[in-house]
Amino acid sequence: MKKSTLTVFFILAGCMLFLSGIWIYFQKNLDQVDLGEGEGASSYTKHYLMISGEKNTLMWDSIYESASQAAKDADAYLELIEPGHDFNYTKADYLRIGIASQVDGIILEADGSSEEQELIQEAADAEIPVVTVMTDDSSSARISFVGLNSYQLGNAYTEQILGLLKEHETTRVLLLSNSQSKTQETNLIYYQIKKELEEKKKEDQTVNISEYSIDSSSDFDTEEFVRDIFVSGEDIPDVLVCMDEVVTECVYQALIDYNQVGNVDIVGFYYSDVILDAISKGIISSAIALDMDETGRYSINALEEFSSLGHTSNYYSVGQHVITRSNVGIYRTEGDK
Amino acid sequence: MREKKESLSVQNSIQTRLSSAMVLVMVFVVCINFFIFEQIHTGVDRIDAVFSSNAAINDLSDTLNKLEGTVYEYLNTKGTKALENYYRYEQDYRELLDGLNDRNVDSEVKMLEKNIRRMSESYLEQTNETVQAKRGRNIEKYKASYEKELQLYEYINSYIYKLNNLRFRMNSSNYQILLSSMDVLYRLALVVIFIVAAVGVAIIILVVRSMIWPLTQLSNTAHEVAMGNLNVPILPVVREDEVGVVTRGFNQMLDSIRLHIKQQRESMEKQAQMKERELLMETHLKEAQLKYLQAQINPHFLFNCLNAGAQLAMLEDAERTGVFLEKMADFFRYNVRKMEDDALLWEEVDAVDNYIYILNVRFAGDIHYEKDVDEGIGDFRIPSMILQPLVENAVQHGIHDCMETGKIRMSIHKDGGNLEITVSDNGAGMTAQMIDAVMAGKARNNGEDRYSTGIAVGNVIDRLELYYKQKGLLTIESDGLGKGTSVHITLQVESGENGV
Repeated sequence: MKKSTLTVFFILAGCMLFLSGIWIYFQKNLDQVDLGEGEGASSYTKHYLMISGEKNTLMWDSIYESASQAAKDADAYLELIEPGHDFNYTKADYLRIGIASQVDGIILEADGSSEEQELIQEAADAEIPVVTVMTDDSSSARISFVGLNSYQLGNAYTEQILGLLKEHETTRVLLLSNSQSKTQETNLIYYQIKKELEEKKKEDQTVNISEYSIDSSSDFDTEEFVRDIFVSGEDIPDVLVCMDEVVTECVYQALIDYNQVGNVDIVGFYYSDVILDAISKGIISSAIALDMDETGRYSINALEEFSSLGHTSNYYSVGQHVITRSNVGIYRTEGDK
Repeated sequence: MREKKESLSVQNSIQTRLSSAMVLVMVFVVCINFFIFEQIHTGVDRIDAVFSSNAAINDLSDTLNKLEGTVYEYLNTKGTKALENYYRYEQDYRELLDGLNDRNVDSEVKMLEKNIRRMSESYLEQTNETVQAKRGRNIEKYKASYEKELQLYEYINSYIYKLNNLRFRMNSSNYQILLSSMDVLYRLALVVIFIVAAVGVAIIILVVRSMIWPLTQLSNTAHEVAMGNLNVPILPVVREDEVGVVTRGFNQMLDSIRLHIKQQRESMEKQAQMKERELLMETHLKEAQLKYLQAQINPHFLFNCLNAGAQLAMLEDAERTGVFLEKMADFFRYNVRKMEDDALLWEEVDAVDNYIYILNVRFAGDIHYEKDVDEGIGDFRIPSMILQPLVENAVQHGIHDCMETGKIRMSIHKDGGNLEITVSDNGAGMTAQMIDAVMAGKARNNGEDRYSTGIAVGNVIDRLELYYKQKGLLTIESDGLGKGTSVHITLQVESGENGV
């Protein structure tokens, strides 16, 4: 009987173990079910809104990443909105949404339009501070700008262009921006470059500088326009200065496709993997980039300062990077990180 | 009282143990089923919760649409009904908004909810403004306000759509997880149910077997006993239940039967021995009788004739002849009458006297016979025809060849509880071998001796043994040939009246 009792005991113990296994398995599966009720999620006292450039790029991801970290440190939730991503809403629509959502602060890349200025004013009326990043609209009611001013950026580009100017002949330089990223600031950069080149070029060097803003209001226009430049084959400039990331990548691809590598020098913007590859291969001469980490962090700092003090610095200057073949390794490592 | 005691001694009765086993198995099965149903219930609840969020969003969207519809209707018609509906839906919408998140949480869904809630609050303010402007007939204001409100309405709808989409995407994956869990649970539940059924059956079989095993043993043993084999081992009492009580009772019964049979056998053996002894005795008596019948064709006829002769002798005044014949007749009568029964001591002594008288007549008074009998012992009962054969033997084999000098002496004395009888002669004597042969019953009288009454010493020895159930009552002593023989008998007599 003792033996049989032991057997029964072991069978029961086995059953209990089996049931416990089922229970644990089932609970684990139930735990995987996320009802979206934000269980275990951190909560914050403030809610900031970041409206990115209309073409979402890796650059904005970098900015958001650092800004988000800074926001968390400041007990704030940073929401990233990418215009044209979900409902084809414009930056202005999202500004309205931000105002209606009564967020505690808005970070956006200004485009200098009057509609935007009105909306920034509206936000200011609703006591929602607006910080502009990358490009500024100083005539709006924004509380602060984080980025490089046109003077600094112009100088940085000029430094790169100077090294690409041909001796004893005319170098045609084309500044390419797209209509989304073209603002008053872009114009100022253009004039700054023009002015600086005139001053710094050698006497026997001639520079024919022009600028073009690609109408990118509809999708894929940037890429099509860049290809048009090379297809016509007539007025291919000697130096192409790209004012944003998407344009840089498009130009790089077109250069390869139309076998213009070596004929056209490119000064790019930002350091995506593609751009870094191009720089290391020598296809893109160099690239100018802002310090995205600082951009993100300072934008949150500006909002925080404003909410605590009621005012903040009008301009936060961020560092700039010039990426050339010699230092491309550093940025690649950063990118990997 | 005894019944009560028995019933109290039954611990762990079969009913209790069987019921306990059944109840245990039932409880086990119920618990397992409860567990499985609980898991299924949890799963179903979870699935319900998953899709209830979508349902809530749809409610929100429907109410918003109705609200916007009534605003438009009111602006269009300024109808009271529309205004009433507007207030009603506004209330409904506000209630639904209360269910949305209003905190800043690190969750896309929750932040969408918060944005919808905040935008909806702005939207409701705007609609209020619009309605108020309409009521105040401020056409420009209500139109501008309506524009703004419409835009907000679109944004909210877009966000609701986005939220719904997000929820649905999330819920779809949740649903997949739950569905696969439920599928696994279903399979495991089947396995568990089979295991539980098997375990239940095993437990019941074990319990029932443990209860039935002693009963089977009892039944087998009872069958063997019924077949007549009482040499079965004692059944062990495994448990103090009903079967234990029955087993103990069976063991006791078996013991009683064995004892009874043993007693019966012993008693039968005794009876058989007694019967055998009786038969032997009868046989010896019959043998003695036959010897007489062979020797004297008809003793009755003979002693009747002798009586007739005695009377005739008296008539003719032949007194001695008359006495002789009378003694002859007494002797034979005694022989005939007493062979079947025991006799009084004086009757035996008389028979010896008669015999000696007859022989003395025959041998002209040559036999010297003495007797020494204690007074007052004549009424003791002894087996009949004991003394006469011994005296006859002394005559026949002792002094037969020396009648003139031969003497026979018979002494009977009471010595305590014993009767000491000695018949001795001074005749031929016996060797030790002869004595042994006589004692072993080998030296039988062949019955052809003309002077013999036909009863040998061996017959006397046998009858004494049968009568007293004891050996060695008769001993023969002789110092050798020519030195006489002495036969000695020791008989136990009880001190009492005529008792032996």
